[in-house]
Amino acid sequence: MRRRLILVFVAVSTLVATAFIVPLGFLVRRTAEDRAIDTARSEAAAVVPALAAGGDRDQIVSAMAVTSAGQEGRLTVITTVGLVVGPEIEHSEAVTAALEAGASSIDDVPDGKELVSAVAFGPGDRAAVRVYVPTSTLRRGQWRAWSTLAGVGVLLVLLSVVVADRLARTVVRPTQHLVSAARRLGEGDLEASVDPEGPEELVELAGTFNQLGSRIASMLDHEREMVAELSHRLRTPLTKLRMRVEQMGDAEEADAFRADVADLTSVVDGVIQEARGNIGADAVCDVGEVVLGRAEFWEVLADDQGRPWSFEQSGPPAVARVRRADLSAAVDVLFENIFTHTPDGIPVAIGVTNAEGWIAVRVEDGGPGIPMGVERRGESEGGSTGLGLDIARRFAETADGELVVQSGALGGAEVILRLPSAGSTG
Amino acid sequence: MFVVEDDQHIREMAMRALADAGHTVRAEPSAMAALQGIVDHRPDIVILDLGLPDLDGGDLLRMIRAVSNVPVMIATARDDDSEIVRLLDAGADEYVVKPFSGAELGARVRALLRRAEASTDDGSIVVGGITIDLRARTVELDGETVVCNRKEFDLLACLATHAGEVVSRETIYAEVWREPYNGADKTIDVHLSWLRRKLGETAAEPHYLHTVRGVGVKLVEPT
Repeated sequence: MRRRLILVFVAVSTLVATAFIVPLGFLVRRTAEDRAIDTARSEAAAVVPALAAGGDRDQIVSAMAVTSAGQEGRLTVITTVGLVVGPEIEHSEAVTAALEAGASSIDDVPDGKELVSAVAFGPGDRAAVRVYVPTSTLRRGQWRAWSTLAGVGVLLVLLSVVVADRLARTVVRPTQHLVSAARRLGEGDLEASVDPEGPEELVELAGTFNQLGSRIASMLDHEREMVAELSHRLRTPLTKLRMRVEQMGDAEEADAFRADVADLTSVVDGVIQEARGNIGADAVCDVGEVVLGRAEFWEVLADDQGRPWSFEQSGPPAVARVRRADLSAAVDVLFENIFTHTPDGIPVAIGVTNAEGWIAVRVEDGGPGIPMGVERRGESEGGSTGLGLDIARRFAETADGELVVQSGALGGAEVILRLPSAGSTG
Repeated sequence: MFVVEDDQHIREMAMRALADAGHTVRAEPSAMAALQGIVDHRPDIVILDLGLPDLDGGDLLRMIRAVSNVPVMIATARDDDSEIVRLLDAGADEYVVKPFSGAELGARVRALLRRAEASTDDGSIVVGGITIDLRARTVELDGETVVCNRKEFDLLACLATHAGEVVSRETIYAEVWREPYNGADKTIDVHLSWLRRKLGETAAEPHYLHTVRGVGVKLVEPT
């Protein structure tokens, strides 16, 4: 857009410059010619007194000698009495007309112009004073004037580029912000908004865009609340079903019915949980703050069990696009895993780092370690289900992150929950 | 027992389940009739559904609290924390989340009755220097207020109801967390640690809270 605006400005300024400079160029050329002809005319006039004084050759030669045309051999005086002073020339039509009819004229000749002035002297005698003006004299000063005009034209165009760039920036920058915010909205970030700036129309567009984002978010939340509310209402008929089952006489049929009701209940619970989980799902939270809060919560148990418990955070504030409750649940799983699978007294180190667009929550213990892949297998060798780590992994993947299990510096397992930093997505 | 439930089928089945368990049961489908019935018959427990035709169940709860200290169990379709905290703060003693069975309703009623029996006339349970006000949901240790969150309070109340007895983790999980115990959950341990800290003791030197390894936890008066 910026380039297009600059091109438009260049085109317009070039047209304007051409419209002024071309006629001006012709005018300059004409003025230079007129000036040369005027000079030739005054040089021809310088000979007239000598002719009027009698047409003496010496006087004419003297008069010619003070003119530059005379000095340069461009001035010739021809009289009807046969006197020719200056370089010999062929009698052109203009010279003949001046001698015979007393007509002065200016005519084009090869490589220049000739000025022929008819002068009457003595009784019935005439003279033709001919000044040859070469093209170089006619064009004198013209090229410099044309260069100046061309320079002014180029300067005008360059100036228009600078002005266009300045103007384009005031339009392009807000437009780019709008494009970036629209892209984020398209990618599902309903909190994407833009500062209204730039021309009036863009300010209005930005305001409308911001309203659009919050309206979509509120409509989605409303829809999710409606789903949750409807699902809640289903719990009353489900209660009736469960109580009816208890009154059924046939035990086998009652069991089958009970299983069906349990399935239905689980579906309704799932819908409610999904709908509730998605309300305000576009929130962001400070990962460091949440992990610190959970670490402090579990620290008392660590204290009771004689486990050295440490927390440290490095890098800028670690803000991720995840829900606080989901992150808390995932972090709780990581801590609970340590208490379940390692003996009392084992040290635990917790760290949160934020670098290169990624936030890493590191939970490390000095226990016996976790077999590789356990977070995917669904069970561990520690006597309990490994579903906890699976929950944490699913949370990480839902947030476009990952869960890594490896051996840590304390000798036990190191579980790293990696989440994209909210700052890295713009 | 007094059941306040607008759905005729649930009301009748709840009455039957509770009657089968040996309770005398009355029921009303609307709030105003229920309030009158509660004042007239002074039941031991009120089971209150929130979706009533003439008044919101929460409002009826406040009206009941204005005239009676009867233990109230809320039957609610909502199981989110904020809703439950709101109801407990409004004066409810217990809640049961729909869909519930007659057996679950009976078990919750028994637990509520146990707590009512364990508490004094003003709704408090006293174990040594600990005073647990079930109605106001406050805890005092030697006269000083102990600030507990919802789960810590429920855990302490559960243990205090069975003061002197070892309460199994299964029971704690069912009564406080209302979920089946999976055998590895450390949630109870961390809440116990917090309670110990707030009661000024440690796992190594317990005064009130004693863990019986492999069996459960008990709250006892320090000797």
